[in-house]
Amino acid sequence: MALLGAARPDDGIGLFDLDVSSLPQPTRRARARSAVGSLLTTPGGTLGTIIVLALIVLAVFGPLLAPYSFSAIDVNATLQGPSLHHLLGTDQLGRDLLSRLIYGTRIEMAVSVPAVAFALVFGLVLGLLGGYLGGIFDNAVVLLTDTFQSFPAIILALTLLVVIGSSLRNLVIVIAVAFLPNYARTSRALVLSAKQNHYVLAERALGASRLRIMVRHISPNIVAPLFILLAMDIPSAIAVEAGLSFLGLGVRPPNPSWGTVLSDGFSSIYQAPWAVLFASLALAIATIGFLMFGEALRDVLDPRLRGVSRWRA
Amino acid sequence: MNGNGGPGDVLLGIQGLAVEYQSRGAVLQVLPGVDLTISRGEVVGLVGESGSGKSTLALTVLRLLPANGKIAGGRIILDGTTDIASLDRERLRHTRGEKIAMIFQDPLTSLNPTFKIGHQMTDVQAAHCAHRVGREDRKRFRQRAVALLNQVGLPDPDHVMRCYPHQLSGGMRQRVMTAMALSLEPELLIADEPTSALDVTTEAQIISLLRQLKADRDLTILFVTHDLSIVAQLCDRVVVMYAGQIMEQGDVAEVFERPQHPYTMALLDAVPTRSHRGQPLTAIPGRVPSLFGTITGCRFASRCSYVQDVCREEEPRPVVSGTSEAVRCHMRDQESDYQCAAVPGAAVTKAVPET
Repeated sequence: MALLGAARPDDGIGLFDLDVSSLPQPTRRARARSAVGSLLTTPGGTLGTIIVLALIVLAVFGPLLAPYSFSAIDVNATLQGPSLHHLLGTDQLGRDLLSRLIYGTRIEMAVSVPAVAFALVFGLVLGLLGGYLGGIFDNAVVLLTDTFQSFPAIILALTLLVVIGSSLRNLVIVIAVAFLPNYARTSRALVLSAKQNHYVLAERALGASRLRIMVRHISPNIVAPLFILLAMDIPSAIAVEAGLSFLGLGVRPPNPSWGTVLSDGFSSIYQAPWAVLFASLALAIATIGFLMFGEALRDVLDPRLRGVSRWRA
Repeated sequence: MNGNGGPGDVLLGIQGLAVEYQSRGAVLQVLPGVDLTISRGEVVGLVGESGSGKSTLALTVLRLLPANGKIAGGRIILDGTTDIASLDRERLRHTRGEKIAMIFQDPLTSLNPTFKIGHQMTDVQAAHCAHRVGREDRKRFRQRAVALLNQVGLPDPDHVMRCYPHQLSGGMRQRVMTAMALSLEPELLIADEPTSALDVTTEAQIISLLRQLKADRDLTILFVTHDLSIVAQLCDRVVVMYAGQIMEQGDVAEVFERPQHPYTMALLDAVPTRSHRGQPLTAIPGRVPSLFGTITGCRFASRCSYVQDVCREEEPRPVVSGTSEAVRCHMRDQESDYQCAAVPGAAVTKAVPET
């Protein structure tokens, strides 16, 4: 059997007149720059990106940025309003609210981001199994997601947390479980449509295994919408975490989650509304920031959906 | 030209292959039982109009039927030993690509848009690598991919390797697909209308590429198309399908010169020629019979201009007639009740021996 030979001109048809080197070929750096650039084209995208970056910086460098320790009690300065010493005031034990909120950012990010990331990964796995293999796998995935989705996320997380006990790790687990069905459903739907693509048939015809097609060929084509969902779910996860902590089931004192700051401040809301006000503000800013970031991300990753809002729809 | 024996060396033997589709609660007999033999080194053209089952036959050979389709009977014998119809999943996976490869109609969507050509070219080889793929293997895969791209006539293969599919034209993508299909040295290449999405100039280039590959590597090709002129240019043998049945098969030159089946005649009449300039195009009246419901008699009877009573009642058997190897028509079968009037073409017939 003839092995690889050199190409040869044939039949006088001008195969060799093609000049591919003139085709546009953006460099990796140029592509990255243009992606970041598109994130910043709209005011919303710019604001969202700034807020998200700021939250990340606060979470990572919190201990360096916070003026006091989150648990430093000053009995001479309880329930104070904003001042130069305590920019956002103090709580009923005289702890600095700014420091507590900065440390709180750390906890919020450490809980919500891994939780949603786990939800994405396991949801994607379930979605691939159900969507690509079909049959009994699909029935199982649909049954599972429908069952879990019939509970509101916070109720589901609350119940699970009561069952498995409260700790930071368990908090991540229950929030991941609560958000997982959403990812499983979305990725299943994306897989169902992606597997109709001709390249899947072509890959099967060349002897690619089912695992290879699912993991290496379909997944990369469907992760973009999942990342958008991820960015938009982070504030929901933060809200669930804050809710659980507010109810006393999440982060334990003296650790400062935004939820515990909120619940601590709640008892003294008439004397000093600062704690409730600033903790709510932090939640609101984080939510708005991630949503704007998510929408900008969607415009970059999936231009077909431009202008369609998950929240306005 | 045949490296592995004479023309009698059978590569693929399809025997009584029946395919059913489950559709709207009914079971459709898409292929009622097809017999087809492909010899090593030959190029077989599979022609027929839309809905004749030619693509289904091509897909069935690699067991790529959609979820609602299944093989209801028959065998697909590769190399005289392996029955593809009954292979387990892992052995089937190795047959695909390594023994039989396939290229498709739409090169624009047959490549994965998220990966560079180089990644996809090497991935095919990695998928069939028996051991764990290491750094040395990757280097080897890349070299082979570049050599293959070069062989299918892509200029500057190194550059193509770094391109995403959307950066290439349709013709270039079909070349890439062909290179990918050849990367595991398959013995049989199934081409399912590989040029129908391309313009005629590109089509001519792809056809000449296939002809060159056939000559260079002794490749056996099953070429599915509805374009008789491509069959005339490229193929050694032609197989004419209608409503899931093979109506006529034989040497391309002979069949096109002296078609034995009325359907083949009608198809050839429908090809626009220069001598018919200014006249309306010839068409075959009627349409392919619906597969919902049973068909008695000859499947072409409703559209045939030589139809007789026997055609509507009895299904014709394949017979050798004139220069065609197998014709499914009562008027070529001397043992049939067909009242022979003025029928064009030779009528020297004998029954086809059972395979």
